[in-house]
Amino acid sequence: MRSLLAFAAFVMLPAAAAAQAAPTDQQRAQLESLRAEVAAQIQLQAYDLVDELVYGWTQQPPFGLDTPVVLAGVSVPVGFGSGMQALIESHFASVVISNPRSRVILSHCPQCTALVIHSGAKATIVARGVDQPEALAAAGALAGSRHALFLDFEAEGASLVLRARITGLEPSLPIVHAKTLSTSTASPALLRTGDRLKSSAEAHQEYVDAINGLSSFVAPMRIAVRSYAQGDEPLSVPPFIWVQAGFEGAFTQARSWTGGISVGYSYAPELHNAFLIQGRIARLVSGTATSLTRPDLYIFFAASAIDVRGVDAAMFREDVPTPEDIIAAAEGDDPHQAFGAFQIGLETRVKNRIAVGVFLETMPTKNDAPSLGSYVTFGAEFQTAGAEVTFCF
Amino acid sequence: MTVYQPLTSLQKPTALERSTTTFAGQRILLRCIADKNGEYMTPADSQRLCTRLGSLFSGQGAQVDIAPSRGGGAPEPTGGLRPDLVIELTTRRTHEENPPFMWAVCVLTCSIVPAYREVSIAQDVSIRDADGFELASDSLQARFVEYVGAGIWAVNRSLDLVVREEKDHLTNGAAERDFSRDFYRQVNQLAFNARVRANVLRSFEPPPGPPKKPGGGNP
Amino acid sequence: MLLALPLLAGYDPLPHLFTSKDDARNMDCRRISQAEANALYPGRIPEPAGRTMAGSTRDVLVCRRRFVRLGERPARDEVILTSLRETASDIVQAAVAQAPAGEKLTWHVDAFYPSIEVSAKIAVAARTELAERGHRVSDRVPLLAAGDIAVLARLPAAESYAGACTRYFAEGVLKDGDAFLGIMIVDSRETQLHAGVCVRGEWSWFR
Repeated sequence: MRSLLAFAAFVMLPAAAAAQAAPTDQQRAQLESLRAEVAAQIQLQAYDLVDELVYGWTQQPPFGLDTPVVLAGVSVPVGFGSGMQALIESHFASVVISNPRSRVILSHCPQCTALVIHSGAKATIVARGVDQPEALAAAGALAGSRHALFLDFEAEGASLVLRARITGLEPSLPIVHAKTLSTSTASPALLRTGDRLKSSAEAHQEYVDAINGLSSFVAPMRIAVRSYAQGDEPLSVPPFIWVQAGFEGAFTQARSWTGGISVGYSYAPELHNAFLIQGRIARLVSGTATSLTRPDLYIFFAASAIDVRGVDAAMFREDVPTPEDIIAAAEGDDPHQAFGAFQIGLETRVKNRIAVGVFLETMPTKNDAPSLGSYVTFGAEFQTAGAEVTFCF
Repeated sequence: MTVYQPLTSLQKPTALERSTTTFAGQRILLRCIADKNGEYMTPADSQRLCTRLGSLFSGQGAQVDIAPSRGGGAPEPTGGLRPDLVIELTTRRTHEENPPFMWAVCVLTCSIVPAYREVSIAQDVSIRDADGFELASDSLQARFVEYVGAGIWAVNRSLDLVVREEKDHLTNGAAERDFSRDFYRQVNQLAFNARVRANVLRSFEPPPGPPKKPGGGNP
Repeated sequence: MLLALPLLAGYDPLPHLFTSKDDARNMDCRRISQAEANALYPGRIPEPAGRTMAGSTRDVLVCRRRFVRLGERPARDEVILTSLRETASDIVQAAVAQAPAGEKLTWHVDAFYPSIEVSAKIAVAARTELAERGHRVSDRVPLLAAGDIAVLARLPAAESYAGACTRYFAEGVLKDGDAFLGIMIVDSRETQLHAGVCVRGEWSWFR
């Protein structure tokens, strides 16, 4: 395949870009919705970075002793509002208070973050208190607090970056501690809760352990109920209750594709003995990988071979059972029907352990069975509707 | 039907609008290096690319020379005049995929299920001054997936005609147009950045004049 | 089947039926080796097979969505902010190399950029980077008198920064032992940052 740069060589040079039309109301609404979604994502990632920062302080405290520090400012990414600022401040305060080993003690200093006017011989300066510590000292407002903490968040492409610095509240404003943390493509997947801080490596190992706990192969045990639509005849097929067992494997690490084979048995006294063998393939539709925290939704397709013996088998005949057929059955000459069936269904699975599903099934060779109707006709007649519960071992 | 996806740098916003005087007074030497085996960028293609880029810069006031494709080293002055900027473009193929089984499926389904070929390329752009000092560089990476199949073309063509806005069209050469637009925009911006950087690093002094001929006198 | 193609392939950021070109352009994608991808995403990418054919390499295309969609912020701001960490690191590394060897300097940093918010981000990034590298950094921004600022603002870039540097030291705002790192743009049409260092009243451009 020739490089498309060659195509670029032949394509006309682009004209100057036309001015963009103003966004419509619908586009604005969509943008607002996207912004809200992004803000939520940023907030969660920001919390994670704050946790990481405080965890680092518990391992390597910025101070030798417990030190009062004023939270002088939290700045959010350019283009975002101050609502996120308040949320991050609250979260930071709660994490720091819960982790006294960090040696950082949050201190209350309203004058530090307020505007202060300082008149001197040379000039009158209007600035925030933390930017003019000499003014605060003159006003006696620095009692207890000698350090100010600044947290700066910025969205840099696909990464959120936290820059934290602690400044000494003295005339030269020296930065005594600085740390940059980032969520980036290099960060491994984490599994961490806010109430028990752990390092990235520990959190990642927990995640890996949780993933590895999900085996690629399982043995599903399934209880299914098949209900048959009534046909033209007054006699209808009763529901069949099946018990199935088999093996299932995942084709991919993410368990986005699974396939399996199972055998099943159904029994109703005096009515039927039935066997089936089924092959099934399922595709994850609720994401690109199975989730550790929420149920997964699969769509599945299955093909079955079903063998029914007993009085109920007569209901699957394509001709109407005669009284002689029924008498013969009563005398022990069991009717017998074998046919194929195709299923389509949805299954909700939780942590690869328990699943609930519903399905429709079509028996192509039984379209003319007078005892069978169809629930849905969509390309094929779906004579069977069912539900199932699966336990995976 | 080819679909284009910018991977890195090609989708970066740019602040430069084209005008006839952006590169006024600048001498630019272009060098487009073909790949060694000529599999995906033959020497002829690379020269055509340089010619197009030359048009881009000359349309903005620059004097453009195109060097034969050759790698590395400090550029020699062309026609006795040192270039202000030397722009070197090298193409690399970073990924290629062409699964045979999809072709079999395509044939069996009479092209309803498409076959596909996927290529990712990196266009490395390096801009230097006349002394070889690098002023700007970037790697513009893109991914192209070429689908072969009547079904997928028909579906997307219908969507283009009925549903999609023009900027979202996927058929009728959209990939080539989008890639060209992104590529030229990024190279243009990069060259401008390099020009300003060269100015700054000279502390805004005018660039040195052409080398004097032996025996004195102006060229 | 056609509609399900993206479904069959897993989520592919390529523009298609369910992904617009805008969505594709707002992804930050790069190719990494399968081993690296398995380390980062163990639940999604399997470990590479023990035996691989000689010369064969499998790679994975990893895409992450940008936090802020392209077009939400002005173009130049977006480019500057997207590469801020890398730019700050490069600038600081070069600035430190410019400083006189063997001297323990206290660094002051300021950014000169049309947007105040972005200017603050640039300055914070550089200060944090300097402090993390173990240098003495002051959070105080050196200020000149209003009259000096009014004059310097009217000068071209070639003269204004050098002039400001001279005034900092002449007015005693900066002293021996201080260094000032200035980060700015020179032309509104560029998407890169320049930088210079002011030491003992002498300004030098290095980026």
